[in-house]
Amino acid sequence: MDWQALILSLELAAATLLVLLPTGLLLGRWLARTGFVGKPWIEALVVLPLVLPPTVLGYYLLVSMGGASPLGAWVQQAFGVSLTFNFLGLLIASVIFNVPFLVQPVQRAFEAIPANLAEAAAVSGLSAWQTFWRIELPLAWPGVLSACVLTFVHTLGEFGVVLMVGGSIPGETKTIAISIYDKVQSFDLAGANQMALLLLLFSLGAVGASFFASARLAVRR
Amino acid sequence: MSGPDLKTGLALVVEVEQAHPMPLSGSLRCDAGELLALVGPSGAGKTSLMRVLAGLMRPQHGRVAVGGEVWCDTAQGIFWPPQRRHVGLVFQNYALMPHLDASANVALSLLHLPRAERLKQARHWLDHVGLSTEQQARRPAALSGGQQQRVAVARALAREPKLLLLDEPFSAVDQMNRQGLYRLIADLRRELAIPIVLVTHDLNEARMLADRLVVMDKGQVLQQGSPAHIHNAPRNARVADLVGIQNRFRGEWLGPAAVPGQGLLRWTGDAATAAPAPVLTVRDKGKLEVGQLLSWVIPSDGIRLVEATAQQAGDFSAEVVAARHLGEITLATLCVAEVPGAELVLTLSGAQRRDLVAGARVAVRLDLGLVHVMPQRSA
Amino acid sequence: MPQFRRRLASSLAVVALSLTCLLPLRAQTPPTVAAAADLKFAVEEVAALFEKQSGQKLRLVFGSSGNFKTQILQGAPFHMYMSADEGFVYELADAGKTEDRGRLYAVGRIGIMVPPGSPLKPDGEFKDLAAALKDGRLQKFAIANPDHAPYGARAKESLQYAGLWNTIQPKLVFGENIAQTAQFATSGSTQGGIIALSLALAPAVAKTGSFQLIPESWHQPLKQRMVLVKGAPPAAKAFYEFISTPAAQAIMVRYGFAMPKD
Repeated sequence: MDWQALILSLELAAATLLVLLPTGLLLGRWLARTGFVGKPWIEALVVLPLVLPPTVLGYYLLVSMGGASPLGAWVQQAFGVSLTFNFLGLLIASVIFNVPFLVQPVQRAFEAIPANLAEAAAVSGLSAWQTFWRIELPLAWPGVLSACVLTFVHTLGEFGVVLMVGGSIPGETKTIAISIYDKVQSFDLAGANQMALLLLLFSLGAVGASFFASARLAVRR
Repeated sequence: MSGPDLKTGLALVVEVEQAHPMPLSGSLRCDAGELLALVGPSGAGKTSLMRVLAGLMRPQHGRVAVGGEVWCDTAQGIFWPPQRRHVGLVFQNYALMPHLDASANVALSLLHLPRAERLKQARHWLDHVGLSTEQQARRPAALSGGQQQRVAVARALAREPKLLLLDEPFSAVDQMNRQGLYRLIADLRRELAIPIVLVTHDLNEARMLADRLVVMDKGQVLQQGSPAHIHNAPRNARVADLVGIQNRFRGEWLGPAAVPGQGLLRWTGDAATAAPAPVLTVRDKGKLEVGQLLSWVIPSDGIRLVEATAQQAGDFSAEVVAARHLGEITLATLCVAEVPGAELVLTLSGAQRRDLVAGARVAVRLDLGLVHVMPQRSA
Repeated sequence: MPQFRRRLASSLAVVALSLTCLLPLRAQTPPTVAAAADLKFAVEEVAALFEKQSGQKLRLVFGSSGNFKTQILQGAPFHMYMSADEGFVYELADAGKTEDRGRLYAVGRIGIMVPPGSPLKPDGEFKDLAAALKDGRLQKFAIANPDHAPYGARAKESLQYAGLWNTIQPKLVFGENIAQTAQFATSGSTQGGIIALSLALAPAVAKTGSFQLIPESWHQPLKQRMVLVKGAPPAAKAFYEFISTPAAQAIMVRYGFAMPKD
C-alpha cells in the first residue's frame, strides 16, 4: 500500500478543487446567464479536455510549460520554480483537465434557476454579490456539490496527463493511479489490487453519497 | 420633454422610444395614489414597458421620472439600476425564493436593517397582507397561489416603494379568489400615496380597478385616459377593437349641418341600395374634411331596442340574426335593413330578452349624441 | 439561509486546514534517480544498501530510458540518469545537460520468457519460435518498444538476425518499457516475449515463467551508461560513486549484469 502516493493524490485533488472552485463557479454562472454570439465556442473550449486524449493535453502542456519552452524558462529564471515534473506542474495540468467536470454541472445548476429570481432580488435591493451568495448559490448548491465531488474523484484517478507531465516521481508526482501502474509492472499484483480496490470503493462511495445528498437537498425545496 | 413634476412631486412620468430589441414607443403619466392599467393583447409591449420602469430593461431612448427622481434619462446618460430605485414589482409568477420561507422572502427587501429589525418588519408586512403567523414560516411550495401572491406583494411593499408595479396579477387567480385580490388592490390604492401600474390583458378588471387606462398594441402607446373616456372616444379603430367596442361602422363625412357644432355623417354599408344611405346628425369637432372616409362607434348605452310597431322617424329597422343566451345575459346580433352589412351587437339582460329570437324584427333607436367619429387610418 | 453559509464556511476551513498539515511532506527534495526499467529490482537493492550505509534517502523512478532522456531534455528534475543505452547519455551530454559524458556501469542481456502453459518453449535460439510462427501456435509476442526502449531495440535486432522480424511483426505487442514487457510476456495474454535477464532473475518474476538467454552475438551489446545531470546535489554524486563499489557491483552481478572492464 503506497501511502505516499495516496496522500499525494488526495492533496492534488483537494488543491485542484480549491483552485478551480472559485473560477469555475464564476465561469459556470456567467455561461448560464449570458447568451452572446460566441458562446458555443466558449462552451466547446470548456468541454475540450473531456474529449481530448490526455496525451494531447500532456503534449501541449509539456511544450508550453516545459523547461525548454519560453514560458517555462522564464518562470524558472524569475521564480526558480519549474512548471513540469513537480506538484505545481501536476496541479496546473489537473486544473485544466478538470474544467469540464466542474464548470458543466455548475453551469447546469445555475441554468436551472429561473431567471426572474435574480431580477426579483435586484428589484428588492440586493446587490449582484448578495444575489449570488443568498439566492443563486444556495439554489445551485446540489449541482455545485456534485461538481466538486466529481472533480475530486476524477483527479484521484487521473493517469494520462500525470504520466506525461509528472514523471512518476515518488512523493512529488507519483499519484495513486501511477503507483498502481508501477506496481503491476513490478509484479506486485497484490499491492496493485489493494490500491485499485481502495480507489474503486472510495470513488463509488463519494459519488454515490453526493448523488444521495443532492437528491435530499432537492426534495427539501 | 418636461422636467420632474413639481406640482405633485409624486407622479410617474415616462417616455420611451426604441426600435431594438423590440419596438416600444409612447409616453404615459400617473399621479400619486392613481392606479394606471396597461392593457393590450399579448406581445403589445406591456411587460417590456413595465421592465423599463423597474430598471430591468434599458431603453434605447427614454426617460423615467418618479416622484421627482430621474430614474432613467438616456439623453443624459442616467440609468439607475433596480437596486437604486425604490420600486415594488410583483411578478406574474411571483418569483418567490423557493429555499426561503415567507418571512425570509419579505426580509430580502429589508437587508439594510439589522437582523432582528428585519424579521420584525417582515412580520408586519405579512400581517398587513393577511398571512397568519403559521403561514409566514412556510416555504412558498407549501403555500397556495393566492398566499404566494400576498407574500410577493408584502415583499414589494417592504421596499417602501415610490412606484408599485403589478404584472398580470389576475392571470393565475381563479374566479373565487379574485374578490380577495380586488380588495387588496383597492386597499393598496387607498393606503399608498404612490402611483400604481398594473399590467393586464383583462379589460374588464382594468376598467373596474383603474383610474387611468393606457392602451398598447405592437409596442405603441395608442391612447391613454380614463376608462370611460377611452370607451366613449377611442382614438381609432384599433383602439376601439382593443377595448372591446363592438359596434363600429364605416361612414363618410358630408360636412357641417344646419345646427352649429353638428355635422352630417353618411352611414355607409357594403353595397349600394335602392334608397340612399342614411345620414346621421352628430357632433362636429371641426377636424374633418368633406368627403373624408371614417369609422365611427357608438357605445351600447346609445343603442335602444324598440318594438317594431313603435318605430319612429330616424329609427332603423333591424332583424335579429342570432341570439345567444348565456345564463343571465344574451348576446344578440342584429342586421340593419337600411345599411347592408352593418351589424349591431348588443349584450342584454332582463325581460327584454324574451322577445329576441332569430328572425324577430325590431326597431333600433340610436342616441346620436354618443356617436364618436374617428378618421379612417389603418391602425 | 444562514445555516447553509455556516456549513459551507466550516467545510472550507476544514479543507484548508487539512492541506496545511500535509505540507511538511514536501519540505526536502531527496536526490532523484531516473533508472532504466530493467534495473528495477537490482537498483532497488543497491539503493537500500546505500541508504543503510549513508543514511541518505533516495528517490527512484523507473521507466523507459528513451522517455527519461526526453524528459531530462525538457528540464525534468532528475539528478542522476541510469540508462540502458549509451547513445541516450551521449545525446544529453551533447545537449549540455550533464556534468560529463558519464560512465559505463553494467552490460545487460536479453532472453526469451514464456509463461507456464504456453505452447512456446523457452528456446533462446528461436528455433521453436520459428516453428510456432509457421504452425500458428504463436498469436501474440511481447517486446519492449524499439523506438525508445533499448531492450526493445536489441530484441528487434535479435529477431532480425534470426530472420523472423518480418513474419513476427504482425504478432508483436509492445511494452512501454522492459518491465511492462515482462508483465505482458508472463500475464498469459501473450504466448511469451523477450525480456531482460535482470528482471528474469528477480524472484518475483522468475516464478512467473521459464527463461532462456539469447546469444549475445545476435544483437548490439546492452552497454548501460549512467551520468549525473548538471547541478546534481552531493548526495546524488555519492550514489553515483557507490554504484561502482564492489558491494554494489556484487548485487548487480547477482542480477545477471556483466561488469564493464575498465
